[in-house]
Amino acid sequence: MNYILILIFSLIFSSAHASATYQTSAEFLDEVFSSDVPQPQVLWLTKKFKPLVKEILGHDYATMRVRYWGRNHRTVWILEEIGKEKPITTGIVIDNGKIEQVKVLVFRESRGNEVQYPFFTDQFKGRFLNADKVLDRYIDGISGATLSVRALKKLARLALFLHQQSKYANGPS
Amino acid sequence: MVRRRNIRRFLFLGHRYIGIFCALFVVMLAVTGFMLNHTESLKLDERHVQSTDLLKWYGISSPMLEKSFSTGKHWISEFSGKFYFDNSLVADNGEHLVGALALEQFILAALETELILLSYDGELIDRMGNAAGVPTGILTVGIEEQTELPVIKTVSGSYRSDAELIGWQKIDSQKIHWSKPQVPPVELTQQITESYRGNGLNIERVLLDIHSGRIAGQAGVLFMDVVAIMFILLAGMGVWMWARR
Repeated sequence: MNYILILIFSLIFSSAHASATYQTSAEFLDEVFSSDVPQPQVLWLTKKFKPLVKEILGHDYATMRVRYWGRNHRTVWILEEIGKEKPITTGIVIDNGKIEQVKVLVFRESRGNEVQYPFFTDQFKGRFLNADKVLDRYIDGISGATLSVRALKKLARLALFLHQQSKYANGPS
Repeated sequence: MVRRRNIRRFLFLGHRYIGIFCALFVVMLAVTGFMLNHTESLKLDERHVQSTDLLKWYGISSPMLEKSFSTGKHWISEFSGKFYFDNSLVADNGEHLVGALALEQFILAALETELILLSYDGELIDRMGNAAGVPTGILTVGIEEQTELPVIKTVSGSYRSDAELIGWQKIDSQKIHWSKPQVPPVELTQQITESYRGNGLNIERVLLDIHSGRIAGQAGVLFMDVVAIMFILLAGMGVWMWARR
């Protein structure tokens, strides 16, 4: 009986305090660039880009410049977007204008952490932006995690858009 | 006959004195009730109390100045865990401000675990933490005399950045002008105090509390209950006397 009570209590407790760091940004970059991480670059969200970023996110990005890492045709973006109340930190790798990897690094919301699992994030692999700045293929949602799914879709579109504006969009510079 | 006259006299006098006593509360309840009925049109929920005494009565204290740094024409300050650019709130994550300085294009503010880059208009340019390669345990920020580049002092040593603040390199330089806290102008402190406390209490809340007596706590509520009982007595006495006339 005691074990059942402890199990119920821990399930309730864990769901109410689901904030977690799955991987640090430094570890993610090490993994992507095989421990040879290039110098970071910054992309300024100028007046030209701001309305386009707002169109993707539905609001302005929090800062005026975005940090990224790039080599050859690949760029890595560590971006944040609020799901319901708190920002979800996500690492996104773009290769030749297509998504190579999406990984949730820090999840701070109390619900919707299913978006961290590969069954969801793998759907982004190979996706690219069409002319309307939306993903070329539909991403299946997760019931109970609608806002987190929406946040990750926005970040994927934003990373693809920012990649197009970076100096790595057309190959090595 | 005499007894009935005494009762009537007693009721008449009681009605008069209770009436005088209640008159003030009738007016108060009518005025506050009228205003509360028009909360939206009078914007009572959007207007905030500025009276120091009233805010103190509600236990809303003044913000505590932790540190303030002058960056030319602007001030970067921390009041009770909130971080301000002049009198505008920039961040409220409870981290302590440890330094700030003016660079050629930006203002650099250092919190314990992240650096915040602001434009001279107060716009947020970048927030740089450990993910951006900024060393942890920031103690203060300064300018290296020789290169005029920003330097941060951390628990693991000093690090110099480039003019764009993208990368950090460990250095041993001794000639660094560290930012030093200063006392902000009185006007700025007043503005931040008003901004900090002003949003804490709206006029609707005060009127509701006056109306119910809660402004004086539980005793006020009980007192208004007594006043309500007196209203009932007053109505009953008035009707009784009118019927007997």
